[in-house]
Amino acid sequence: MDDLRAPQAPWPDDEFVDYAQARQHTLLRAAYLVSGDLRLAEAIVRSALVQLGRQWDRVREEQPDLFVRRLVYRDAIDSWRHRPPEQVAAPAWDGPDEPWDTEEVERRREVLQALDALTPRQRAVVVLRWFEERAEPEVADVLGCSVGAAHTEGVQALGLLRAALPRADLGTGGVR
Amino acid sequence: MSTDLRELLELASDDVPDLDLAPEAWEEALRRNRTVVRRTVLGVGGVAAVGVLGFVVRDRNGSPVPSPTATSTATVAADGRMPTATVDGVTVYLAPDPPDEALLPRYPDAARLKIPRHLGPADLAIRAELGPGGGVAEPLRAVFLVVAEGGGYHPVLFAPDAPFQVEVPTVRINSGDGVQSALGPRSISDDRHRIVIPQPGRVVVLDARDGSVVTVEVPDPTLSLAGWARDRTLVVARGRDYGWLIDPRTGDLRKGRSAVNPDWAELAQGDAGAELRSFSGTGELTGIRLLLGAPVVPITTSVSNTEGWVAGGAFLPGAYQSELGRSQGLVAVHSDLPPKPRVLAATTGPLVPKGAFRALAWGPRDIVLFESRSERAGFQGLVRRVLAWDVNEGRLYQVADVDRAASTPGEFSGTYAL
Repeated sequence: MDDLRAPQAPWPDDEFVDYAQARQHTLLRAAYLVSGDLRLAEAIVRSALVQLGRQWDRVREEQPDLFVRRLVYRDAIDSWRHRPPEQVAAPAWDGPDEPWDTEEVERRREVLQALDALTPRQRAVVVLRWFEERAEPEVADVLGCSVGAAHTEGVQALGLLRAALPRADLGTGGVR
Repeated sequence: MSTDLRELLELASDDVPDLDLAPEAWEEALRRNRTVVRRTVLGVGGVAAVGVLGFVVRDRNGSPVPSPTATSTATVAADGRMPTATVDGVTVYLAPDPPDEALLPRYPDAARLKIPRHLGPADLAIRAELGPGGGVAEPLRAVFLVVAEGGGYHPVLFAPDAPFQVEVPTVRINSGDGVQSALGPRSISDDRHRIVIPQPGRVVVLDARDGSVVTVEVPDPTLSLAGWARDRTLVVARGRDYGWLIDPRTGDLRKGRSAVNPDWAELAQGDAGAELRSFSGTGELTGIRLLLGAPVVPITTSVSNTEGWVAGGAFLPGAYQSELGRSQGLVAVHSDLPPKPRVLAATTGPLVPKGAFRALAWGPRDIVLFESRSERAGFQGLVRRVLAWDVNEGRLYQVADVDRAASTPGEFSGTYAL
């Protein structure tokens, strides 16, 4: 009898947890690349998953990928805009467990600095287009803009990245 | 050989840890949904609650436990339709928690509003300074105040069709307690080219087309509101005790015989309760009617339109609090009908400040644009969003996120007008 009256812990929704676990690392990396801050990225993805969980009954049969990406990218863009200046170039890394690969570390620093030269929206386009490998219509859908605007942002961003990363030959990135 | 951009982005995010956020997120989602449903159950009560929320089951201790289906019907639907309740015959639409405003559908005719998704002067890359003989020929959509060097504020003009936002350093607004009221719903003229700003003892009129500034002295050191009358000519200003009708073309000035207001109508608190006051095109009072239904207390500037709607922020006392647990919101009334309000009630909680909803302007048809303010969880400062309430269909949409306010020179002050 007492067992029946005891408050029960919320039963995890296996489908939600499976869905979220399959995507959370990609979302976290994307949020980090756009926001430039690991702690912010974690907060952004956690918040988006909570929102998704709240709407899960409604969204699960529709477009959960689009739903959660819209939240993640919007908040990542927004957090970048509102971040205090001193945090812009200070991603919070834990110490490495393995010996430093200095060339790789330097390369990573160059890429992050190059991304810092872009506007938040350009970073979002770059991450969607070339990290997540989304087509331009999908990029536009996530960011709530026209396909033309997504294309233009992508072209401009690629130009800036080329200038900031002269050692890399980025080609056209698939856009013209 | 071309370096793959994806490889570089992979490298840049290679050390991001693979955190498992899913189980915790699910528990938090359940907890927050349960809080919303429970609050609504307690507010609406009894049979009405079952009707609005669907199934509610009871555990063996007798406390209400919502079923999963109850959750989704207690939130705003995908088409923006809000759950409703009735208080003393007044229809009340239940606005979502501030974090859930981000889940609202986008306003479907956003292009017509000409309001960008991010609204504000924070992007310095698109801000220019008004030069000698310069101006903004395009119609203005918004004006912002930014913090000036050495104290005070400057306006920044936003015209969607212009290449830049234009800062006007020649107009300096004195700092002080009244900066929030320096701009209001009628600050921009109906032709969308002129701006009026009240200052102690004067009003300042800026013509954006050529940058010209006219200052009209007003013998009232308490001026705190100014706006363009509906006749497109006069400026109506208010101080603590008097209203003023001003013609900025000639400098003519007249003290109002009774209450004055630049718009067609306003909601205000009178001796006998909340009133719907009507005004002429030149800003003079033409009629007063008491609002019907459960009392509300208007607290912020109203906006009205030519179709007869008026809306403004209000406290919701008495029955709203006892029956719904909600204490403030936005009230809309149609001046051609019996003046029974429709209420959009804000949630309560640590994220919701007093005066959370502020009417900004009417959009097309029966859409009122308003600002929703809330505390930013985990960040400093306020979140400001422009939302759109369709008062006829009871739908709520998101329109824009407003830039964050700051106090350093060049930054957005948080004061703006549409």
